[in-house]
Parts: sequence; structure tokens; C-alpha cells
Amino acid sequence: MTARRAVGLLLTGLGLILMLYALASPFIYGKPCIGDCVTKKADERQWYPDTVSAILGWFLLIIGPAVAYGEAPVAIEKAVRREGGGERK
Amino acid sequence: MIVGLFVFTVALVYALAYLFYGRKLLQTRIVKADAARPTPAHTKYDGIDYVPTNKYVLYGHHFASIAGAGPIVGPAIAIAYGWALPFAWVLFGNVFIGAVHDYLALMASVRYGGISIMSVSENVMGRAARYIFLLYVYFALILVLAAFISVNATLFAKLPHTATKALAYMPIAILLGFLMYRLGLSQKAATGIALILIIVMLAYAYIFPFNIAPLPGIGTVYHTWLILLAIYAIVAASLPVWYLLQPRDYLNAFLLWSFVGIAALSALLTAPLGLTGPAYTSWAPTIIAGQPTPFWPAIVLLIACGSLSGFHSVVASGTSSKQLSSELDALLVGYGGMLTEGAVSSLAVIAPIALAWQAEGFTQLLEAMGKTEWAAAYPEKGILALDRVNRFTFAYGYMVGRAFALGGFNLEIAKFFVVFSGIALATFILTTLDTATRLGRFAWQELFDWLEPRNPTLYKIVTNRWVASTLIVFFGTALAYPYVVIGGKPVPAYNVIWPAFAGTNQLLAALALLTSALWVYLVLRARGPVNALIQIPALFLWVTVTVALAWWLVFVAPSLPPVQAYGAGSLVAVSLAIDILLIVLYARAILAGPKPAEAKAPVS
Repeated sequence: MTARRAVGLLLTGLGLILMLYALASPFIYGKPCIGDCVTKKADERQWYPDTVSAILGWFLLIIGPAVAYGEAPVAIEKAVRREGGGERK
Repeated sequence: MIVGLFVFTVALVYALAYLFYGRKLLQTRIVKADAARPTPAHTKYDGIDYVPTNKYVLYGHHFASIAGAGPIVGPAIAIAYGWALPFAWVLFGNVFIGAVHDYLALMASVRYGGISIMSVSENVMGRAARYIFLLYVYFALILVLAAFISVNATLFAKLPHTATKALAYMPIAILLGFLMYRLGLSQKAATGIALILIIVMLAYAYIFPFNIAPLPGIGTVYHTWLILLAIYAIVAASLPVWYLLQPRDYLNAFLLWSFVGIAALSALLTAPLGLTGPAYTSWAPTIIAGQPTPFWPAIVLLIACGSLSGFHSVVASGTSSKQLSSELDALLVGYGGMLTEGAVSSLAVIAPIALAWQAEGFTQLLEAMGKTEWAAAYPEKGILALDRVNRFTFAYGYMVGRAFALGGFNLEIAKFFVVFSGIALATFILTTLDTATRLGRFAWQELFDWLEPRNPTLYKIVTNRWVASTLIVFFGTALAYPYVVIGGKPVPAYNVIWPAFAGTNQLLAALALLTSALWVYLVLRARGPVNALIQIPALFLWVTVTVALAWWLVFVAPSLPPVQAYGAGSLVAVSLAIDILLIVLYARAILAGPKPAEAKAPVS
């Protein structure tokens, strides 16, 4: 396994844990939302661990797999070459 | 008029248009599409932007990208003419202009190696046309980005349920891409898994909103979302298309299809009911900036995406042409995608609004959802008592509530579908954000192709995908971030020029259609009635847009607050000048005679 793939998988795993925690937080804490469910005015809301987890987890889940497996899948490349294409720019 | 006749007309017109106008005329006689001719997705494959794609996946991407808020909000505003005129414009514009414009832009781009329609113009109108067109599109895309990033940030701040949906949607889309492309799972099985997860997450999002707080030193939730969405747009637009864009839009298409399908089914179930709205109210009701707004030419500024839109040509010749696996797929993607968007306007917006205009039980729905002010005004003003977005969401919910109660009216179903239609609208909007970023990146990269032979190292830096994506997002966010006071109300700064956007977008449509029409005449060498079927709508659109821009400058601009009158007015004046220049270039090109089929513009 290359270092790049290991880092990508680590980021993905971390992202998954953070996202699952955020999504489970309404059940864990018995809240009706993710984040601040008490403050009425949006601009006066406070940060909670699940809010931070959700945002970090979201970005990590988008970036992590790209770092680990970012190159074009072999399946696509094979199909393109079979049809005579695949000449890289 | 009964709902059934309305649905029958839509189905008949679109079926005939697809089979005869699309397949026989455009695909077979004019473009002569050939499955054996390799497309740029194969010949220029790079694994990032040029990737051959299954036609249904690409259709999903194309449809989800061209469908912004336009096909919904435009007809909901134009309904002030009564339902018949907007309905006729959607059908006519869709079949003879919009779908032709999208299909030809896609195919012209494919034949020139996947370059944008702006660069195609060099081959038929000369190099000057190309750079003017590219610059104009780049600035238009900055404006689109500013508006869509702002609308998304507002939506996530005010309706946090839509933020929860977005939170879950992107990782599921990436999972779908991996199941299909990495693990080799069949498309059906992978789609099934992803759709189950999406349904679970939609239910979750319906129950649990995602309430974020302002970042320290930022001050508001709106600005915090703006920054997060800007980062997202840069990342999403720079990643390979197969990774996020394709699977995300493919999944979106299912949501959007179910939204159109439910509307069509509801229309069928309510077929015997009469439309309660007037077919015609006035030729010039008060619509734009409180001014009497004549149906012609102003309709082109009111209804964009549902009928025709310049943004579509940028998508068709931007992301879609680089992913088209076979020339024969272009009919479904380009022509079919546009007809589907017309179906959104006619079946999911105009039909429900015409049904709910003065309908029994509608007040009850408004009251049940806490809209007491609208409920009080509704008996007198009808559906026009509601704001433009809620005319659509409430009418949609009402029609489904009538349909599934079989003769009666089910309030709970109606309430659920008011929210569902809001989520569908949010889906249309979020997709456009990162697609616009990617398209801006392409336009930027094509703008600097002259640099490549002179200084390859600098060219590589300037056109690096991360650099190009960051630049356009920076410009767009800079227009959406600060607030200015217009008419006594603080609004994001892009509003200074936003009133000009409709004209800018439709001028793009005229530019793209004239370019495509020239390609058909000069390169494909179509002649006679077949050629006339392309040239006449192109010239009609140019005349309509020109008169509309002039009308806007004379009648609308003076009634706006000074900052907008000068800001947006300048943009419309520049657009009008480009518009005139374009017709001169068009006439010169026609007089100059046929052109070779090879691309002159360097392909990026």
C-alpha cells in the first residue's frame, strides 16, 4: 500500500466516524436536530461537538476517497482503450 | 380546460418533437450522427474531465445541471399572464428553440473535440467572436456563482433540513461511484443500494435539521455557510467527474424524476378536474420591477430554463460533450434533457398552479402551514397572493393532496408534498453551484490557450484546475459576501447587477444558437427547408432578445434604485452592444460562405 493510499484511507475512516457520530447525536442526546437546537436566533447559536463533527466528517468523506483512489478507475480506462481511445492529453 | 387535456397536450407534443424533430430532423438529416465516429471522451480521455459515460448517467448529470431554479420560478412568475400564454411559450420555446439549441451546442462541441460553444464560434465567426464570447460567459458564470452560492447559503441557514440532506447526499454519491467503477457492481445493484440510502436520509433530513453556528469573527450563519460552500465548490469542481459529479447528478436525476413523475401521476389522477385559474389575464400585467410587462418580448426574460436558456449551451459544450460516449447518445442527453425540463415547467409548475388558483381547500392548506396572511388574501387575489416560490410549492402539494385523496382532499399528504417540492427545488439549486464552477474553470482555461505556446510553464500554473476553480469561486463569493442597502433593505452585493442576469443569460442563448445555426449552414452545409427550420428560430430569438434588452433599458432600469439602475443598466447596455456586434459577425460569416469541418481553435 502506498503512503498516499494509506493517508486517504485514514482520512476516509476518520470522516466516517465523525459523520456517523454527528448523525447519531440526536439519538444519543435526545435532541431534535444536529447542532444547537435550543437557541432561537440562528446568528446567536453555539457550536457543539456534533456540529463540528458533521462539517469535518463531510469534507473528509469527500476528500479522503479521492486521495486514496483518485486516479481514473481501471474499468473506465480499459473500456476506453478497447474502443481505440485513451490517448492522454 | 380540464387537467387531463393539459397532460395529453404535453405528452403528445413532446413525443412527436422527440421522434420527428429531434431524431429524424436534427440527428439524422442535419447532424448525421454516427455511432462509429469516436467522441472526445474517447479520443482525449484524461480520467478527469474527458471520461466516456453511460448515456443514462450522463442524461442525469445534464438534466440536473441545466435545471436550476429557472424552470420553476420563471413560470411561477409568468403565471400572472394567466396559464395559457406561459404554457404555449414553454411548449413552443422548448421544441423549436431550447432543445435545438442544447442539442446543437452539444454536437458542435463534440465535433470540435469537446471545446466550448464559445470556442466553436471561432470556426464560424472568427477569433474576435471567440474571445468576446468567452469573456462574456466567464463574467456571466461569476454572476451565476454569486447568486447560487448566496441562495444556497440562505436556504441552508433558513431551512436547515435542506442542509441535512446535502450532508448525507454527497458521501452517498461518492459511494455509488465506488460501487460502480471500483468494485464493479452492476449499475442496477449499485443504484438500488444508493437509492435505499437516499430514501433513509431523506426521511432523516425531514425529521432532523442541521443547525450550524456562526464562525468566530464571522457574525452570521449565512456568511459561515457561504465560506463552507465556497470550499465545497472548489473541491467538487476540481475532482474527477466520475468521482462525485456523475454519480451525484445521476442520483439527483432520480429525485428530480420522481418529482416530475409524481406531478404527472397527480395530473392524471386529477384529469377530470377543471383548471380554476384564468387562461388569460392581460397582455401586460405588472410584473418586472412594478412595470407593465408585455408578454412579447419580455417573456424571454421571465421564463428561461423551462423554455430556453443560454446557460444550457455552456453545460452542453462544457461538461456533457466531454463525457458523451457515442454521438447517438446526444439526442437523449441534449434534446431529451431539455424536453424533460419543459415537462418540469408545464406539469410540475403551470398545471398545479392553474389547478390551485381559486380552489376549494387551498386556504385550509395555507392555514395548516401557518401562512395566515396569504390565507386572508387568497380569496380575493387567488394564487397570486403568494410569493413566487411558494406559488409552486403550495400548488404542487395541493395537486398531490387532491390526486391521492381520490375525489377529496388529503391535507396531510398535501403538507408533506409542500416540503418535498421545496427539497426538490433545493436539489436543483445545489447541483448548479459546482457545475457552474467547473464550467467557469473550462472558460478560464480556454481563455488562456494563447499562452501555451509562448510560456508553457506559466500556462500550466494559470490553467491548473485548482487555481482556476479557486479564482472563479473567489470572485463569486466576493460578490455574495458583503451586504449593500438597496431600497432600504440590506441584500448581498451581487444584487446590484442581478436584475440584468435574465438578459445576460438569454443573450448567451442567442449567441449560442446563432453560432450553432452558422455551424449547420457553413460546416454541415444544410440547405432548403431543413436549414430554414434552424435559421428562422435562431433569428427570431435574436430579435426577441434584442427588443427585450432595449425594452428593459428604457422601461425597467429607470424604475430601479439608482445603484441597480447604473449597475445592472451598464451590464445590459454592454450586452446590447455585443448583441449588435454578433449579428454583424453572423451576416459576414453567411456572406463569406462554407467553412472546413476542422477545428481552428486550439482544444484544451
